[in-house]
Amino acid sequence: MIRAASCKVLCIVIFLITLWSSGKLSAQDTVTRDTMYLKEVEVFGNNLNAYPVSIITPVTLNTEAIRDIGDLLRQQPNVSGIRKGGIAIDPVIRGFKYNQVTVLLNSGVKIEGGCPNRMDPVASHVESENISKIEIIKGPYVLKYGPVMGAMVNLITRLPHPDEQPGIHGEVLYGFESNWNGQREHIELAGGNNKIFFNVSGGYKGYGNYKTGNEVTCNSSFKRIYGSAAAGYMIKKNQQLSLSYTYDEGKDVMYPALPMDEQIDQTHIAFLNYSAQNAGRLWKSIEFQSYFSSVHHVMDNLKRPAAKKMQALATVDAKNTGGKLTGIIRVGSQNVQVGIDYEHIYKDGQKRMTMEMEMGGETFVSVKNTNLWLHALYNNAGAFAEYKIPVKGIDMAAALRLDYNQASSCDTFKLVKNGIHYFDETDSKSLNVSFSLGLKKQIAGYWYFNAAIGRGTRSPSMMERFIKLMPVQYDAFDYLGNPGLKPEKNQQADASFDFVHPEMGTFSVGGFFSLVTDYIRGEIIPPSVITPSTQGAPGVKQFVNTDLVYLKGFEATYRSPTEKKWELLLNAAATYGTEPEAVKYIVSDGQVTGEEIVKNDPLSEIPPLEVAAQFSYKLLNNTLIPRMNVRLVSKQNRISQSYGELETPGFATAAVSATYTPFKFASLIAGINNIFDTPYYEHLNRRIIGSMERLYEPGRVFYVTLILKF
Amino acid sequence: MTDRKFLRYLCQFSLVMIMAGGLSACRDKEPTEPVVPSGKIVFNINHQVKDQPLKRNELIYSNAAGNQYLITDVMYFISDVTFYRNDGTKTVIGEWKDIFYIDENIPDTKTIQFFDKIPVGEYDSISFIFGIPQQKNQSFMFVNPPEVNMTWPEVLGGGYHYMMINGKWKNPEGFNQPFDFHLGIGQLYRDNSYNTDSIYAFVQNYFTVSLPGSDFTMKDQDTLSFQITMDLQQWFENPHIFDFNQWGGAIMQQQPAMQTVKENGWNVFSLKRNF
Repeated sequence: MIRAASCKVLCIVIFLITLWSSGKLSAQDTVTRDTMYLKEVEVFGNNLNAYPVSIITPVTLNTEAIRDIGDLLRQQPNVSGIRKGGIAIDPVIRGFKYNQVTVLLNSGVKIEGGCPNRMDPVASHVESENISKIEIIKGPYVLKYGPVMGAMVNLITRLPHPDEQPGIHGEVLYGFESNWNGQREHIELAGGNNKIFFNVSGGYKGYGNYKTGNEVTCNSSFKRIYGSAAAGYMIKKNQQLSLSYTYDEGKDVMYPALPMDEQIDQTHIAFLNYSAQNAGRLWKSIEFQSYFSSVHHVMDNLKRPAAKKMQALATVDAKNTGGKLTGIIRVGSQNVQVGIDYEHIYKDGQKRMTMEMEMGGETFVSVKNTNLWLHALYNNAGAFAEYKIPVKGIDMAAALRLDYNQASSCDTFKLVKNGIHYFDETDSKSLNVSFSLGLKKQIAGYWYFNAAIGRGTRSPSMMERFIKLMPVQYDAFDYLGNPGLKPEKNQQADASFDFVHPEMGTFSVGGFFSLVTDYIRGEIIPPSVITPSTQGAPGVKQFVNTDLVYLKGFEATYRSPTEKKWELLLNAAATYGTEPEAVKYIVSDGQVTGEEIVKNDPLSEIPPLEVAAQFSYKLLNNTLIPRMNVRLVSKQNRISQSYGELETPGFATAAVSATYTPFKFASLIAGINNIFDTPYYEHLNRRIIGSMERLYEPGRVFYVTLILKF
Repeated sequence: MTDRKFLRYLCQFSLVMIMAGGLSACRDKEPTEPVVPSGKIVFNINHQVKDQPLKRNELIYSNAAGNQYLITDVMYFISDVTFYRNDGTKTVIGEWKDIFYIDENIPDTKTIQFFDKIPVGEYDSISFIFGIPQQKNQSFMFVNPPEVNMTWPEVLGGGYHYMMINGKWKNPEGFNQPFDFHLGIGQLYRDNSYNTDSIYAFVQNYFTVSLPGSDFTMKDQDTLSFQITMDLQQWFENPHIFDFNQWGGAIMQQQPAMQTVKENGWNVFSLKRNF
């Protein structure tokens, strides 16, 4: 429903731009002094796209108490997240997770997280205060941003833009949350004229431990400090160059569901963007983007009881460099978008384990250093084309993408036993083909039918290829990479009906079916071959390709017309994942005594059916808007036997908030999350390390946010 | 194009896509391995002193050297359990696990249910390694309790203790003095200072135990149960008499003492078939 509203706004903007440009921008030589060339504007939603797209708008970003983008994403239908601590919730979209979900910054910037335990998923390196819009595209249909397998999240940051009226503007934000005594402060300055423009921003977040609804204190504190600067220059009226740099640091971030805590995580992101509109007879537009991102991640277990026996310290450096060149070619009355892109990842990391032993009054210290990655490299070069054309009343969009992927590592580690090469040759190459086809048709009156099919292929990640003995998945097992993995492919079909009525609102219902082949999952390696190196890990699993799994699900949404004073948003969504044949190990008296095949085993980490409702009402000439949210989440009893997953009881939560905007320059947002202090946990919340206890969500939280603009 | 036609084309195309995906997934299917007739084996471990079940924390035992002693803990590893068939072939346990930890204080560890399937046939004997062989005894290979508590210091050779028997003996002064009757990698020192800087070589003290009277017949789908008994008294006698008053309470850095223990280990274990 957010999608529908934002789509309408975008369509109006596009319509106005089109009207304006038809008179003024019909040719380069007719450009006047007042012409402002805008960057490419992408329009999603009912009117143009055949596949599901959700957009989180600045309105939502400003009215929520957001400490983490992953937490915000969970509010979208069929989007959930894996919680391991107070922040850095890892998004799961329609059951696709980790690298099956592509998370980008500004439509092209990629970040390689440093932590093998995914303490720092991509979205955790960006602060919500710097975000202007988030796009969530479900399915492998949009191929111009790089390889996409299950879904894509595009985080659009606040970038500087040319302004006809020179000046400097600013925004100051202060937010407070009770329960975990959290504060966030943010300041931003932006200015310039129609030639040179800039913005700078910075902020701090400090949160303590939160209490759950059953009064248990969760060790979830964290600190974050960040800053960014960006500048733009209009080379010509139709050409723009911009440069941006962001620094983001996480410090003392606790993860009770992981064996270590984050000591420090330092991220540097820099990117350069050049765009030209109407670049000639053939080229409607050309855009070049290049970026560099670097993550230095240090984690340890020094604040854990386990450190008394064995201390562990891990340091990882990850660098991602890349770029893309895209252009829109005029072909008759239609446009074809073509482009090439490149991504290069370097990753290196070590783990140091220290054990102290008291014997006969003497202290003996044993130390072991191991490589998590050793100068590991990943290169991906891609080319794509996308064509949109109306055919006999059907809006069609077709896309094709080819990727050449290569990876290698300087590992000296080898694991070959009984003739089985578990970890040996590290070089691998693959040529991946992805394509999609989308159709949209107005079938009757206010009814639209949308359908899309596609195949998204992704190469195995650095973690899946080369990681050495770290607990990186749902279960507590240590995982070993597999350089010989094949790319994972998702063949997916989506179909939906939209009912768009100006008086009655918008209703949309759709379903999807996804067949994933060469699905990457963990398979236990016997302890006679290798034993775990992480305390609490019951054994070692290695990433392998399994034949296939399938996922299916639906989303249903209703949104009232935006013109009305009251607004109602209803969502219902669910995903069901199944592995036709999975191996389950039989455990007797703590010993693995055999194995059996489980038929149609549910996939692990799939959230249950959820229904959500949001109601708001505009009062006092729209200056006061109270809101109420209710979430009903069903029990999840479709659990993976092969992964030893646990059932999760259903729950209901409610939240209220109000936005008061007495002046254009000031907004006050206050609210209560989890009003009834319900003790609950999401199905995807991990277990607290060393126990079977699940990580609960925060109890009741009062929050207030003040935003001043000048 | 009519709506019906459009929907029909769409359904057909989707079906082709999904079938193509399914077919590509099936192409690498491995052939099923033939089923070999086999059975399973279970070891039940039992600790005794002079044919009597071990009673911990009671000063009721005395050895051949005349030391009165009590036992508090018995912990050790056995590995590479091997079943010898009368046709000259053998099955070494290791398909799943090859090192087994046994602890008197943890009853679950005293029952070993082997994951490996034992092919049918006539078997002559059973053996195992007491401790962990050199190539497998790697430091940090166990990170979880209880095995992690068996760590053997890196400077003394690394890896893990083969055995820890803890207790007390009554010393000549009449006091109950603690002993750590531990076996692991031994060290050779340049002098008698036991200074770790003077270590010039390490000695692997693990040894093979062949269980007398361990012939059996394995039939298809059978599960055979054997009772393995450790007689703790045997560690202190036959062929060498071990005297706590001579060696003291800690032998980890005394290779001659560990050599004595190792040589006494040959007849510590016995086997009985459970029916």
